[in-house]
Amino acid sequence: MSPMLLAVLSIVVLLVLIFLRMPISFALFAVGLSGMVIFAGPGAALQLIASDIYRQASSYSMVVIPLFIFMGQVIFNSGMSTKLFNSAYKWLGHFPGGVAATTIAASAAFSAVSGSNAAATATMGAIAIPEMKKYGYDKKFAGGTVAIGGTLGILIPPSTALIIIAVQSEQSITTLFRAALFPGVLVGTLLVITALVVAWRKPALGPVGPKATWGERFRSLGGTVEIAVIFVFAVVGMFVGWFTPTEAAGVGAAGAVLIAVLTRSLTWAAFRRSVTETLRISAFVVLLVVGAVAFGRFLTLTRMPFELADSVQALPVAPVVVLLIVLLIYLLGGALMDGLGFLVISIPLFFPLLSALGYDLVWTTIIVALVTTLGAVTPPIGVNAFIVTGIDPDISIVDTFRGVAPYFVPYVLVIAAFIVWPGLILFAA
Amino acid sequence: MTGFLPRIIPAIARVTAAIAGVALISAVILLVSGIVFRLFGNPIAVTYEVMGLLAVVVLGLSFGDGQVAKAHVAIDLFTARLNKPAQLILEAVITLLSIATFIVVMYALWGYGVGQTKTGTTTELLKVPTWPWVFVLMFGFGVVVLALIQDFLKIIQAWITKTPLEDEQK
Amino acid sequence: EGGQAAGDEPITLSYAFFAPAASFPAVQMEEWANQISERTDGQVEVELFVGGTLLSSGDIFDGVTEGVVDIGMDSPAYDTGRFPFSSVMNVPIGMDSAETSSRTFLSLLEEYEPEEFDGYEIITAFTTEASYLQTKTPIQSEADIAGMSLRAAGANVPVLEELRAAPIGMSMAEVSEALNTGVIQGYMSSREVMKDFGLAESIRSVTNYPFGTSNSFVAVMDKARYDALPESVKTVIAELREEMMLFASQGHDESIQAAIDFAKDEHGVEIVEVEEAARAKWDKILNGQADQWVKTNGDSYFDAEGVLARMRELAAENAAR
Ligand code: NA
Ligand code: NA
Repeated sequence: MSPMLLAVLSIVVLLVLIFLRMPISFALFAVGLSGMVIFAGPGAALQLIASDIYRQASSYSMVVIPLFIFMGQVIFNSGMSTKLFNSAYKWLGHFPGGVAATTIAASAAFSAVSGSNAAATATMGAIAIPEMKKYGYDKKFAGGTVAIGGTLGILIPPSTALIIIAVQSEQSITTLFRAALFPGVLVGTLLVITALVVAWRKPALGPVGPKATWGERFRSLGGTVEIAVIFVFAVVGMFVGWFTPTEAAGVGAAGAVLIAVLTRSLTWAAFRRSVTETLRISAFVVLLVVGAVAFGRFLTLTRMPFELADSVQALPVAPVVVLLIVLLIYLLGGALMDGLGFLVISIPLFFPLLSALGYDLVWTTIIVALVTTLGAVTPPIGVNAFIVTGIDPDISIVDTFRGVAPYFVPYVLVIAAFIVWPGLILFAA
Repeated sequence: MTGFLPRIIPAIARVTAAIAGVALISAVILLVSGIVFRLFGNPIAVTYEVMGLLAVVVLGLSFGDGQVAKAHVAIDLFTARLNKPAQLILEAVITLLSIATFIVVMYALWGYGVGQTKTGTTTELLKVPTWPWVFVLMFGFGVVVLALIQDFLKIIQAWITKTPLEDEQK
Repeated sequence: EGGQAAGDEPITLSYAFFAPAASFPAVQMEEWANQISERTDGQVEVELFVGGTLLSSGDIFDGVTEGVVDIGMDSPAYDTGRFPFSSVMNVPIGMDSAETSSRTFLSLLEEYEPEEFDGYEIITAFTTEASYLQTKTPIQSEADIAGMSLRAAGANVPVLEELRAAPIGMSMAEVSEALNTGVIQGYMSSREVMKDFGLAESIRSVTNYPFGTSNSFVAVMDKARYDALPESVKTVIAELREEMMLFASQGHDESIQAAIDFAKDEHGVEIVEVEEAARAKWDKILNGQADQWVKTNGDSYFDAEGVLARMRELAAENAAR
């Protein structure tokens, strides 16, 4: 069997197993492992899978995921998130979709201290989904909002994706972070507006609440102080140089526990529940990432991604057509596997190609980051959508994929605008 | 089913998850104390390395409890339309395939760990041997296999007694 | 895959490395692939897997043994448990160019045939230049460095501790951010990172004092598979061993000069000298590291004192070239 055929076949088998209800991470392991055995023999396959698991599970950056999830769980289980949403509801609840808008704004704020989509989705999901359910939100709208909010995780700096790109294509991390800030905030703002517009056109999706008095509104702010302190301490502490984003995860978690204990809102039972839930969500997220890495490793072994790049490069068309084809491949890659896993494989292939065509590397990075992060909410493999279901089994994966659909509009507009006016990104870099 | 396995397996998963929980809290404490020490001009050089080792314990030992709690998401878009016996058969096949996969994964980690005992590989600064951490991961996947075996027994029981699977009601 | 071919059958060799394609060891791989294909009239084709797409640092030599790839290049010196002999390259003896220390390393490996590479054929070996202090404020004296938080790795950590600096372990990818937030005030590394990692914009000063060799690289092939290659191919591989060491290290030395020019011209980075008094003290600390290495490897499979003495000899010869 030719390597290419084996690679294509493995993708088909993967999809079949997933649709036969095999947990997605398990299917990635099973197909990746079998593919490696067929392609490189059992000895090589065992060596590869073991090293992948060990490297991923022992990495400093991986422990950030449980830490940020833990912070969200403590905020959630101590009732701080409820108070935040009560307050947001008093201010925004009388708009249709007000809580959804708040969810995205909060995801954007959270993304400023978190480098990963998974952490942003899991944390904000744990807080926002119960609140939206409580206020009678449509579950597609609720799931889609949380999942799309999570895509800001690797868009708004700090960002694991940008760090990976910076290192692999030898760019400055600082420059990329600076360049990503405006696009990230712009996308975040447009997503908030989209949430409001969606609910304004179909108020049943995000029911309007009672209008609170100004007195009630300002009094409700008292309940948000704790959460604001945690966020501000983590963000400000990072920007004034007390600690790195990774340490911010630890500070955020410790701060959440400390404040919850001081305000007597964290019982021993709630603390234990926070730990248990954190570990369960982390187990799911991390197994998924490791599975995607293992499967991606097998694809690399077949050299399928390399062949793909070569055939694109050979096309006799204008540079912008090549760019669009590359973006399409990123979209497909992000659809089929973990976005970060696809990034690692594809950077060495496409970045030199686009650079040779005259595209600025910083600009290319931000465009690729925009498309990559969308991969987390595109079917069939959309990590953010899976996390939403992991948090609330009532919201099916299909519900979330449907709920995400309207949010593609601002993304497509932003990507198109940046292609037409590259200066929108490059002015900050 | 009132056997020994249905009680002992979740208990094992709970105990390993408890150890993972302690490691998680240790990671928080280590990060925060690292910052405090640095503010007083005494940074801890090995924080980075220790965090990696703690990550193994936090992540590896939480996989099993995740499976007991059915945290690993599956898509039932297609299978939900099948009749009950067909669903049970599919479920059994998929569970067996998962068990086989993770037994191979355990075997791979076993070989990887044994290899490290022979080469004497250590971490860079602390010179801690790396093989025990590989075995922690192997043990973590062992708990996943145990949880899957229990799932498989439940499927068999549902087939014999012609009742729906327990976890479908939740 | 490749390996068992005899005569003039086409041979495909796969070759893996952990760092990106643009890094100098990876550029060397590309050159090796071209050379071997050319010199065997296209009989040997090489498939490159760089940037850790297949194997990460620490797993590459085992990947070669298990047949994941035919050839793999990794950095042995930091895994002192597994590669005690190679760790001699961590000992700071004042080698200041990559070419000097690369020539020295390859000679040592060829002369001693250390048992830590049993079962492997060494395809080539080379090193980076020495590590230098690259900081936000100039370091010229003991007082300048005291209490300063610096990113460092491996054998440089105890040296910095003796200089009363505060070494911090983190990946190179995080250094830029840590510099900009003030978590660290500098780092210790070979100097191409000023350009390759864009760090020149975050620092102000480079202290012109070489510490130990920053990193070393060994490319290996499984011995049995190497032996199965046709004689003609083995001859080409053997003649490329030293050529590639020179290609990589000379290219690295050139890129260092380019990085220094870039840092000076584009970002106003200054090169500063260590004050006389401090220099004597620093030299003494570095000598202490050599004694420490001999003590640590006293019961190793090789004669530590002899190896170190031979390294000093070779280094002097090579520096004089
Ligand atoms: Na972020
Ligand atoms: Na996707």
